[in-house]
Amino acid sequence: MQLDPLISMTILDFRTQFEADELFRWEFQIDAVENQDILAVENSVLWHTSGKGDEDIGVHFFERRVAKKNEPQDMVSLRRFETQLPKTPITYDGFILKIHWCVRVRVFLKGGKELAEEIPFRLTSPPKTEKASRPQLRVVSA
Amino acid sequence: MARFFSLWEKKKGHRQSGSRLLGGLSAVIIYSTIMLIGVVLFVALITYQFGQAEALSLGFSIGGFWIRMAIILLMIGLGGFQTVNTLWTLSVSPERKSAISIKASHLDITQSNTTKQEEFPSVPNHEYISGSPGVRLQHRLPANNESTWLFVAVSVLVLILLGVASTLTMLIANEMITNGKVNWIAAALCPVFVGGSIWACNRFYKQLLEIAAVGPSNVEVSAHPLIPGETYKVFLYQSGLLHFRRLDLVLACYEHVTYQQGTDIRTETRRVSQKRLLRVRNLKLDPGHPFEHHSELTIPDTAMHSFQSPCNMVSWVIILTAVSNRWPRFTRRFPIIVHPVS
Repeated sequence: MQLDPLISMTILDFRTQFEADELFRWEFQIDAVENQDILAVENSVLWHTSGKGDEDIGVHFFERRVAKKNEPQDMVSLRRFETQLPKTPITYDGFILKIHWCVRVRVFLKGGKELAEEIPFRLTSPPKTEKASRPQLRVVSA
Repeated sequence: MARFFSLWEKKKGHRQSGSRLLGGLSAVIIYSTIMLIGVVLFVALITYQFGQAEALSLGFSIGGFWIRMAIILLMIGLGGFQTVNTLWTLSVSPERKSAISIKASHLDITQSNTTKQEEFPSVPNHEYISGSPGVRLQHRLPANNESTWLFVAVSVLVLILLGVASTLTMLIANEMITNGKVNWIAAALCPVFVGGSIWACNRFYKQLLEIAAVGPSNVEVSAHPLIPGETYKVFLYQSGLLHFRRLDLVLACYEHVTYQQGTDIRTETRRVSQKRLLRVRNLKLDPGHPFEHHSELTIPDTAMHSFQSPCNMVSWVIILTAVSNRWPRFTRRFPIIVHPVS
Protein backbone atom coordinates (compact mmCIF):
# COMPACT_ATOMS: atom_id res chain seq x y z
CA MET A 1 0.00 0.00 0.00
CA GLN A 2 1.42 3.38 -1.02
CA LEU A 3 1.20 6.22 1.50
CA ASP A 4 -0.06 9.66 0.52
CA PRO A 5 2.67 12.30 0.48
CA LEU A 6 2.88 14.30 3.68
CA ILE A 7 3.24 18.07 3.70
CA SER A 8 4.77 19.37 6.94
CA MET A 9 4.35 23.11 7.49
CA THR A 10 5.23 25.43 10.35
CA ILE A 11 4.75 29.14 10.97
CA LEU A 12 8.14 30.04 12.37
CA ASP A 13 6.97 32.48 15.01
CA PHE A 14 4.71 29.80 16.51
CA ARG A 15 1.69 32.07 16.77
CA THR A 16 -1.50 32.49 14.79
CA GLN A 17 -2.03 36.23 15.00
CA PHE A 18 -0.04 38.77 13.02
CA GLU A 19 -0.32 42.49 12.57
CA ALA A 20 -0.39 44.33 9.25
CA ASP A 21 3.07 45.00 7.78
CA GLU A 22 4.62 42.38 10.07
CA LEU A 23 7.17 39.88 8.78
CA PHE A 24 5.60 36.47 8.28
CA ARG A 25 7.97 33.48 8.12
CA TRP A 26 7.14 29.86 7.44
CA GLU A 27 8.76 26.63 6.32
CA PHE A 28 7.62 23.38 4.79
CA GLN A 29 8.87 20.06 3.54
CA ILE A 30 7.30 17.15 1.68
CA ASP A 31 7.73 13.61 2.96
CA ALA A 32 6.75 10.09 1.91
CA VAL A 33 7.21 10.83 -1.78
CA GLU A 34 10.12 10.60 -4.18
CA ASN A 35 11.45 13.78 -5.69
CA GLN A 36 10.88 12.53 -9.25
CA ASP A 37 7.18 11.82 -8.55
CA ILE A 38 6.44 15.52 -8.05
CA LEU A 39 5.42 17.67 -11.01
CA ALA A 40 5.10 21.03 -9.26
CA VAL A 41 4.86 22.62 -5.84
CA GLU A 42 2.89 25.83 -5.22
CA ASN A 43 3.42 27.80 -2.06
CA SER A 44 1.21 30.78 -1.26
CA VAL A 45 0.08 33.19 1.43
CA LEU A 46 -3.47 34.25 0.71
CA TRP A 47 -6.81 35.43 1.98
CA HIS A 48 -10.09 33.85 0.99
CA THR A 49 -13.72 34.58 1.80
CA SER A 50 -16.38 32.24 3.09
CA GLY A 51 -20.03 32.68 3.99
CA LYS A 52 -23.02 33.11 1.80
CA GLY A 53 -21.33 34.66 -1.23
CA ASP A 54 -19.20 32.92 -3.81
CA GLU A 55 -15.62 32.49 -2.70
CA ASP A 56 -13.09 35.20 -3.54
CA ILE A 57 -9.40 34.63 -3.17
CA GLY A 58 -6.48 37.06 -3.09
CA VAL A 59 -2.90 35.87 -3.20
CA HIS A 60 -0.32 37.96 -1.38
CA PHE A 61 2.69 35.69 -1.94
CA PHE A 62 2.94 33.01 -4.62
CA GLU A 63 5.76 30.74 -5.72
CA ARG A 64 5.52 27.81 -8.12
CA ARG A 65 8.35 25.37 -8.60
CA VAL A 66 8.17 23.01 -11.54
CA ALA A 67 10.29 19.91 -12.01
CA LYS A 68 12.41 20.25 -15.15
CA LYS A 69 13.45 17.28 -17.26
CA ASN A 70 17.19 17.71 -17.51
CA GLU A 71 17.70 19.83 -14.44
CA PRO A 72 16.94 17.92 -11.24
CA GLN A 73 15.49 20.11 -8.50
CA ASP A 74 15.07 19.25 -4.89
CA MET A 75 11.33 19.61 -4.41
CA VAL A 76 10.96 17.83 -1.08
CA SER A 77 13.58 19.28 1.29
CA LEU A 78 12.85 21.80 3.98
CA ARG A 79 12.52 25.35 2.60
CA ARG A 80 11.99 28.60 4.45
CA PHE A 81 10.17 31.69 3.24
CA GLU A 82 9.30 35.11 4.51
CA THR A 83 7.09 37.93 3.35
CA GLN A 84 5.89 41.23 4.72
CA LEU A 85 2.16 40.99 5.31
CA PRO A 86 -0.11 43.61 3.71
CA LYS A 87 -2.27 46.12 5.60
CA THR A 88 -5.55 44.75 4.21
CA PRO A 89 -7.83 42.88 4.18
CA ILE A 90 -7.71 42.06 7.88
CA THR A 91 -9.30 38.86 9.20
CA TYR A 92 -13.04 39.39 9.51
CA ASP A 93 -15.76 37.32 11.11
CA GLY A 94 -19.02 38.82 9.90
CA PHE A 95 -22.58 37.56 9.60
CA ILE A 96 -22.72 36.47 5.98
CA LEU A 97 -19.11 37.15 5.08
CA LYS A 98 -15.85 35.98 6.65
CA ILE A 99 -12.30 36.69 5.57
CA HIS A 100 -9.60 34.16 6.42
CA TRP A 101 -5.83 34.23 5.94
CA CYS A 102 -3.71 31.12 5.49
CA VAL A 103 -0.42 29.82 4.20
CA ARG A 104 -1.05 27.01 1.74
CA VAL A 105 1.16 24.47 0.00
CA ARG A 106 -0.19 22.52 -2.97
CA VAL A 107 1.67 19.56 -4.44
CA PHE A 108 0.97 18.23 -7.95
CA LEU A 109 2.01 14.64 -8.45
CA LYS A 110 2.63 12.68 -11.62
CA GLY A 111 -0.58 10.91 -12.57
CA GLY A 112 -2.76 13.96 -11.86
CA LYS A 113 -3.08 13.65 -8.09
CA GLU A 114 -3.07 16.88 -6.14
CA LEU A 115 -2.60 17.52 -2.40
CA ALA A 116 -2.95 20.70 -0.41
CA GLU A 117 -2.18 21.61 3.17
CA GLU A 118 -2.76 24.94 4.89
CA ILE A 119 -2.29 26.70 8.22
CA PRO A 120 -4.77 29.47 9.00
CA PHE A 121 -3.69 32.62 10.82
CA ARG A 122 -5.25 35.95 11.73
CA LEU A 123 -4.20 39.28 10.25
CA THR A 124 -5.14 42.20 12.48
CA SER A 125 -4.70 45.95 12.45
CA PRO A 126 -2.03 47.29 14.78
CA PRO A 127 -3.40 48.78 18.00
CA LYS A 128 -4.28 52.42 17.75
CA THR A 129 -1.52 54.65 19.09
CA GLU A 130 -2.15 58.19 20.17
CA LYS A 131 -0.70 60.66 17.73
CA ALA A 132 2.30 62.54 19.08
CA SER A 133 1.35 66.12 19.79
CA ARG A 134 2.57 68.51 17.16
CA PRO A 135 5.52 70.60 18.43
CA GLN A 136 4.52 74.17 19.06
CA LEU A 137 6.18 76.85 16.99
CA ARG A 138 8.16 79.21 19.10
CA VAL A 139 9.28 82.66 18.09
CA VAL A 140 12.91 83.02 18.92
CA SER A 141 14.04 86.56 19.18
CA ALA A 142 17.24 87.43 17.44
CA MET B 1 -31.87 21.69 18.52
CA ALA B 2 -33.97 21.09 15.43
CA ARG B 3 -33.41 23.58 12.66
CA PHE B 4 -35.59 24.58 9.76
CA PHE B 5 -34.16 23.83 6.36
CA SER B 6 -34.39 26.80 4.06
CA LEU B 7 -35.80 25.52 0.80
CA TRP B 8 -35.34 28.60 -1.35
CA GLU B 9 -32.49 30.38 0.37
CA LYS B 10 -28.93 29.46 -0.29
CA LYS B 11 -27.08 28.01 2.66
CA LYS B 12 -23.77 29.32 3.94
CA GLY B 13 -20.46 27.63 3.30
CA HIS B 14 -19.26 25.45 0.44
CA ARG B 15 -21.98 24.64 -2.02
CA GLN B 16 -20.12 22.33 -4.37
CA SER B 17 -21.36 18.89 -3.43
CA GLY B 18 -19.81 17.01 -6.38
CA SER B 19 -16.33 16.70 -7.80
CA ARG B 20 -14.81 19.86 -9.26
CA LEU B 21 -13.14 17.78 -11.96
CA LEU B 22 -16.36 16.01 -12.97
CA GLY B 23 -18.27 19.30 -13.05
CA GLY B 24 -15.56 20.86 -15.20
CA LEU B 25 -15.46 17.91 -17.57
CA SER B 26 -19.25 18.09 -18.03
CA ALA B 27 -18.93 21.77 -18.90
CA VAL B 28 -16.13 20.99 -21.37
CA ILE B 29 -18.27 18.31 -23.05
CA ILE B 30 -21.26 20.69 -23.35
CA TYR B 31 -19.22 23.64 -24.70
CA SER B 32 -17.11 21.55 -27.06
CA THR B 33 -20.31 19.95 -28.43
CA ILE B 34 -21.73 23.43 -29.10
CA MET B 35 -18.47 24.33 -30.88
CA LEU B 36 -18.48 21.11 -32.92
CA ILE B 37 -22.12 21.59 -33.97
CA GLY B 38 -21.15 25.12 -35.01
CA VAL B 39 -18.24 23.84 -37.11
CA VAL B 40 -20.40 21.18 -38.79
CA LEU B 41 -23.13 23.74 -39.53
CA PHE B 42 -20.51 26.17 -40.84
CA VAL B 43 -19.18 23.59 -43.31
CA ALA B 44 -22.72 22.57 -44.29
CA LEU B 45 -23.81 26.16 -44.83
CA ILE B 46 -20.80 27.05 -46.97
CA THR B 47 -21.11 23.83 -49.03
CA TYR B 48 -24.86 24.31 -49.53
CA GLN B 49 -24.56 27.98 -50.40
CA PHE B 50 -21.77 27.46 -52.97
CA GLY B 51 -23.54 24.42 -54.42
CA GLN B 52 -26.80 26.36 -54.75
CA ALA B 53 -25.02 29.34 -56.27
CA GLU B 54 -23.36 27.18 -58.91
CA ALA B 55 -26.45 25.19 -59.75
CA LEU B 56 -28.91 28.06 -59.99
CA SER B 57 -26.42 30.84 -60.85
CA LEU B 58 -28.43 33.12 -58.58
CA GLY B 59 -25.70 34.13 -56.17
CA PHE B 60 -26.17 34.32 -52.40
CA SER B 61 -29.44 34.97 -50.67
CA ILE B 62 -27.88 37.73 -48.60
CA GLY B 63 -30.24 38.03 -45.58
CA GLY B 64 -30.70 34.38 -44.68
CA PHE B 65 -27.08 33.48 -45.30
CA TRP B 66 -25.60 36.17 -43.06
CA ILE B 67 -28.06 35.57 -40.22
CA ARG B 68 -27.25 31.85 -40.26
CA MET B 69 -23.55 32.63 -40.52
CA ALA B 70 -23.72 35.01 -37.50
CA ILE B 71 -25.49 32.39 -35.35
CA ILE B 72 -23.00 29.68 -36.36
CA LEU B 73 -19.97 31.91 -35.70
CA LEU B 74 -21.46 32.80 -32.31
CA MET B 75 -21.79 29.09 -31.51
CA ILE B 76 -18.18 28.42 -32.56
CA GLY B 77 -16.85 31.46 -30.69
CA LEU B 78 -18.79 30.91 -27.49
CA GLY B 79 -18.21 27.15 -27.45
CA GLY B 80 -14.50 27.52 -28.21
CA PHE B 81 -13.91 30.28 -25.66
CA GLN B 82 -15.78 28.47 -22.89
CA THR B 83 -14.02 25.16 -23.66
CA VAL B 84 -10.57 26.78 -23.43
CA ASN B 85 -11.57 28.80 -20.36
CA THR B 86 -12.95 25.74 -18.51
CA LEU B 87 -9.89 23.65 -19.40
CA TRP B 88 -7.62 26.45 -18.16
CA THR B 89 -9.64 26.76 -14.94
CA LEU B 90 -9.37 23.02 -14.35
CA SER B 91 -5.65 22.84 -15.00
CA VAL B 92 -4.66 25.83 -12.86
CA SER B 93 -4.95 26.02 -9.09
CA PRO B 94 -7.11 28.85 -7.62
CA GLU B 95 -4.00 30.42 -6.03
CA ARG B 96 -2.10 30.51 -9.31
CA LYS B 97 -5.11 31.97 -11.13
CA SER B 98 -5.45 34.67 -8.48
CA ALA B 99 -1.70 35.41 -8.57
CA ILE B 100 -1.80 35.82 -12.36
CA SER B 101 -4.83 38.13 -12.25
CA ILE B 102 -3.38 40.23 -9.38
CA LYS B 103 -0.04 40.56 -11.17
CA ALA B 104 -1.83 41.57 -14.38
CA SER B 105 -3.94 44.18 -12.56
CA HIS B 106 -0.81 45.70 -10.99
CA LEU B 107 1.05 46.04 -14.28
CA ASP B 108 1.75 49.65 -15.14
CA ILE B 109 1.52 49.73 -18.93
CA THR B 110 2.89 53.27 -19.10
CA GLN B 111 6.27 52.16 -17.72
CA SER B 112 7.97 48.92 -18.65
CA ASN B 113 9.04 46.50 -15.90
CA THR B 114 7.20 48.37 -13.16
CA THR B 115 4.25 47.36 -11.07
CA LYS B 116 2.12 49.58 -8.86
CA GLN B 117 1.76 48.44 -5.31
CA GLU B 118 -1.47 49.22 -3.53
CA GLU B 119 -1.14 50.48 0.01
CA PHE B 120 -4.49 49.00 1.01
CA PRO B 121 -5.30 46.02 -1.21
CA SER B 122 -9.01 45.18 -1.56
CA VAL B 123 -10.06 48.54 -0.10
CA PRO B 124 -12.15 50.60 -2.55
CA ASN B 125 -10.64 53.75 -3.99
CA HIS B 126 -11.59 56.84 -1.98
CA GLU B 127 -10.47 59.50 -4.49
CA TYR B 128 -13.97 60.15 -5.82
CA ILE B 129 -15.10 61.11 -2.31
CA SER B 130 -11.96 62.77 -0.97
CA GLY B 131 -11.65 64.89 -4.12
CA SER B 132 -14.93 66.72 -3.52
CA PRO B 133 -14.45 69.74 -1.24
CA GLY B 134 -17.17 70.79 1.18
CA VAL B 135 -18.46 74.24 2.12
CA ARG B 136 -18.43 73.90 5.93
CA LEU B 137 -16.13 70.90 6.37
CA GLN B 138 -13.29 69.33 4.42
CA HIS B 139 -15.18 66.86 2.19
CA ARG B 140 -18.66 66.77 0.70
CA LEU B 141 -19.96 63.23 0.38
CA PRO B 142 -21.54 62.26 -2.95
CA ALA B 143 -25.10 61.01 -2.62
CA ASN B 144 -26.13 57.61 -3.90
CA ASN B 145 -29.63 58.73 -4.67
CA GLU B 146 -32.19 55.94 -4.54
CA SER B 147 -35.16 58.25 -5.21
CA THR B 148 -33.89 59.13 -8.68
CA TRP B 149 -33.56 55.49 -9.70
CA LEU B 150 -36.96 54.71 -8.24
CA PHE B 151 -38.42 57.62 -10.20
CA VAL B 152 -36.85 56.34 -13.44
CA ALA B 153 -38.16 52.81 -12.75
CA VAL B 154 -41.67 54.08 -11.94
CA SER B 155 -41.66 56.27 -15.09
CA VAL B 156 -40.78 53.28 -17.30
CA LEU B 157 -43.46 51.18 -15.56
CA VAL B 158 -46.08 53.90 -16.12
CA LEU B 159 -45.24 54.07 -19.83
CA ILE B 160 -45.43 50.30 -20.27
CA LEU B 161 -48.67 49.86 -18.30
CA LEU B 162 -50.39 52.82 -19.99
CA GLY B 163 -49.31 51.52 -23.39
CA VAL B 164 -50.67 48.03 -22.76
CA ALA B 165 -53.91 49.32 -21.14
CA SER B 166 -54.67 51.71 -24.01
CA THR B 167 -53.88 49.04 -26.64
CA LEU B 168 -56.23 46.58 -24.94
CA THR B 169 -58.99 49.23 -24.68
CA MET B 170 -58.63 50.08 -28.36
CA LEU B 171 -58.75 46.38 -29.26
CA ILE B 172 -61.98 45.84 -27.33
CA ALA B 173 -63.60 49.00 -28.75
CA ASN B 174 -62.55 48.14 -32.32
CA GLU B 175 -63.90 44.59 -32.04
CA MET B 176 -67.21 45.84 -30.66
CA ILE B 177 -67.67 48.56 -33.31
CA THR B 178 -66.68 46.51 -36.33
CA ASN B 179 -67.99 43.03 -35.47
CA GLY B 180 -70.35 43.72 -32.58
CA LYS B 181 -68.55 41.10 -30.50
CA VAL B 182 -66.56 41.24 -27.31
CA ASN B 183 -62.92 40.10 -27.25
CA TRP B 184 -63.13 38.27 -23.94
CA ILE B 185 -59.39 37.72 -23.49
CA ALA B 186 -58.69 41.42 -23.94
CA ALA B 187 -61.68 42.27 -21.72
CA ALA B 188 -60.35 40.06 -18.95
CA LEU B 189 -56.85 41.52 -19.12
CA CYS B 190 -57.89 45.14 -19.49
CA PRO B 191 -59.01 45.81 -15.86
CA VAL B 192 -55.72 44.40 -14.54
CA PHE B 193 -53.63 46.75 -16.67
CA VAL B 194 -55.94 49.73 -16.09
CA GLY B 195 -55.71 49.14 -12.31
CA GLY B 196 -51.92 48.81 -12.56
CA SER B 197 -51.72 52.01 -14.62
CA ILE B 198 -53.73 53.95 -12.02
CA TRP B 199 -51.49 52.68 -9.21
CA ALA B 200 -48.31 53.43 -11.21
CA CYS B 201 -49.54 56.94 -12.15
CA ASN B 202 -50.29 57.66 -8.48
CA ARG B 203 -46.80 56.46 -7.52
CA PHE B 204 -45.24 58.46 -10.37
CA TYR B 205 -46.84 61.75 -9.25
CA LYS B 206 -45.87 61.10 -5.62
CA GLN B 207 -42.26 60.51 -6.68
CA LEU B 208 -42.34 63.60 -8.89
CA LEU B 209 -43.67 65.76 -6.06
CA GLU B 210 -41.16 64.28 -3.63
CA ILE B 211 -38.28 65.17 -5.95
CA ALA B 212 -39.68 68.66 -6.38
CA ALA B 213 -40.47 69.19 -2.69
CA VAL B 214 -37.42 67.58 -1.09
CA GLY B 215 -34.50 69.76 -1.94
CA PRO B 216 -30.84 68.80 -2.09
CA SER B 217 -29.23 67.05 0.87
CA ASN B 218 -25.57 67.68 1.62
CA VAL B 219 -23.48 65.72 4.08
CA GLU B 220 -19.92 66.87 4.79
CA VAL B 221 -17.21 65.29 6.92
CA SER B 222 -14.08 66.78 8.46
CA ALA B 223 -11.73 64.10 7.08
CA HIS B 224 -11.78 61.23 4.63
CA PRO B 225 -11.05 58.26 4.53
CA LEU B 226 -12.18 57.50 8.07
CA ILE B 227 -10.23 55.38 10.55
CA PRO B 228 -11.61 53.19 13.37
CA GLY B 229 -11.44 54.80 16.79
CA GLU B 230 -11.32 58.35 15.40
CA THR B 231 -14.04 60.96 15.84
CA TYR B 232 -15.05 63.22 12.97
CA LYS B 233 -17.29 66.23 12.54
CA VAL B 234 -20.34 65.82 10.31
CA PHE B 235 -22.41 68.58 8.80
CA LEU B 236 -25.91 68.03 7.39
CA TYR B 237 -27.73 70.48 5.13
CA GLN B 238 -31.29 69.76 4.04
CA SER B 239 -33.48 72.12 2.09
CA GLY B 240 -37.01 71.68 0.74
CA LEU B 241 -40.66 72.52 1.24
CA LEU B 242 -41.92 69.68 3.37
CA HIS B 243 -42.94 69.07 6.93
CA PHE B 244 -41.11 65.97 8.18
CA ARG B 245 -42.44 63.94 11.04
CA ARG B 246 -38.97 62.56 11.62
CA LEU B 247 -35.51 62.96 10.12
CA ASP B 248 -32.71 60.51 10.94
CA LEU B 249 -29.02 60.44 10.13
CA VAL B 250 -27.49 57.01 10.68
CA LEU B 251 -24.00 55.57 10.26
CA ALA B 252 -24.26 51.97 9.07
CA CYS B 253 -22.05 49.12 7.96
CA TYR B 254 -23.27 46.54 5.43
CA GLU B 255 -22.11 43.18 4.17
CA HIS B 256 -22.97 42.50 0.53
CA VAL B 257 -22.53 39.07 -1.00
CA THR B 258 -23.17 37.84 -4.53
CA TYR B 259 -23.70 34.21 -5.34
CA GLN B 260 -24.80 32.02 -8.16
CA GLN B 261 -27.88 29.91 -7.57
CA GLY B 262 -28.60 27.73 -10.56
CA THR B 263 -28.57 30.11 -13.48
CA ASP B 264 -29.40 33.16 -11.33
CA ILE B 265 -26.91 35.57 -9.83
CA ARG B 266 -28.24 36.84 -6.52
CA THR B 267 -27.10 39.52 -4.14
CA GLU B 268 -27.81 39.64 -0.43
CA THR B 269 -27.17 42.59 1.83
CA ARG B 270 -27.14 42.62 5.62
CA ARG B 271 -26.78 45.61 7.93
CA VAL B 272 -24.23 44.48 10.50
CA SER B 273 -23.93 47.62 12.60
CA GLN B 274 -25.54 51.00 12.87
CA LYS B 275 -25.34 54.08 15.02
CA ARG B 276 -27.78 56.98 15.00
CA LEU B 277 -26.04 60.31 14.61
CA LEU B 278 -29.11 62.52 14.65
CA ARG B 279 -32.89 62.37 15.09
CA VAL B 280 -35.07 65.42 14.61
CA ARG B 281 -38.84 65.36 15.07
CA ASN B 282 -41.40 67.71 13.50
CA LEU B 283 -39.04 69.44 11.16
CA LYS B 284 -40.60 72.08 8.95
CA LEU B 285 -38.58 73.09 5.94
CA ASP B 286 -39.06 76.12 3.77
CA PRO B 287 -36.78 77.54 1.07
CA GLY B 288 -35.71 80.43 3.29
CA HIS B 289 -34.79 78.25 6.25
CA PRO B 290 -32.94 75.06 5.29
CA PHE B 291 -32.05 72.66 8.08
CA GLU B 292 -28.39 72.74 9.10
CA HIS B 293 -26.85 70.62 11.81
CA HIS B 294 -23.36 69.85 13.09
CA SER B 295 -22.74 66.54 14.81
CA GLU B 296 -19.95 64.03 15.38
CA LEU B 297 -19.41 60.47 14.32
CA THR B 298 -17.01 57.89 15.71
CA ILE B 299 -16.04 54.76 13.84
CA PRO B 300 -15.94 51.96 16.45
CA ASP B 301 -12.47 50.71 17.45
CA THR B 302 -13.19 47.17 16.33
CA ALA B 303 -14.84 48.12 13.05
CA MET B 304 -13.98 46.35 9.82
CA HIS B 305 -12.49 48.52 7.10
CA SER B 306 -14.22 48.93 3.74
CA PHE B 307 -13.59 45.87 1.63
CA GLN B 308 -14.36 44.97 -1.96
CA SER B 309 -13.70 41.81 -3.93
CA PRO B 310 -15.53 40.45 -6.98
CA CYS B 311 -18.33 38.68 -5.03
CA ASN B 312 -18.13 40.16 -1.51
CA MET B 313 -18.10 43.62 -0.02
CA VAL B 314 -18.13 45.45 3.31
CA SER B 315 -19.38 49.00 2.91
CA TRP B 316 -19.91 51.97 5.21
CA VAL B 317 -22.58 54.52 4.56
CA ILE B 318 -24.27 57.53 6.16
CA ILE B 319 -28.02 57.24 5.61
CA LEU B 320 -30.42 60.15 5.69
CA THR B 321 -34.02 59.05 6.16
CA ALA B 322 -37.01 61.35 6.37
CA VAL B 323 -40.59 60.40 7.17
CA SER B 324 -43.47 62.74 6.49
CA ASN B 325 -47.20 62.34 7.01
CA ARG B 326 -48.18 62.76 3.40
CA TRP B 327 -45.30 61.38 1.35
CA PRO B 328 -43.54 58.04 1.27
CA ARG B 329 -40.31 57.77 3.27
CA PHE B 330 -37.33 59.09 1.35
CA THR B 331 -33.78 57.84 1.80
CA ARG B 332 -30.47 59.21 0.64
CA ARG B 333 -27.24 57.31 1.07
CA PHE B 334 -23.77 58.81 1.34
CA PRO B 335 -21.03 56.16 0.97
CA ILE B 336 -17.82 56.61 2.97
CA ILE B 337 -14.58 54.65 2.94
CA VAL B 338 -13.08 53.32 6.17
CA HIS B 339 -9.38 52.47 6.23
CA PRO B 340 -7.78 50.24 8.86
CA VAL B 341 -5.62 51.64 11.63
CA SER B 342 -2.06 51.77 10.35
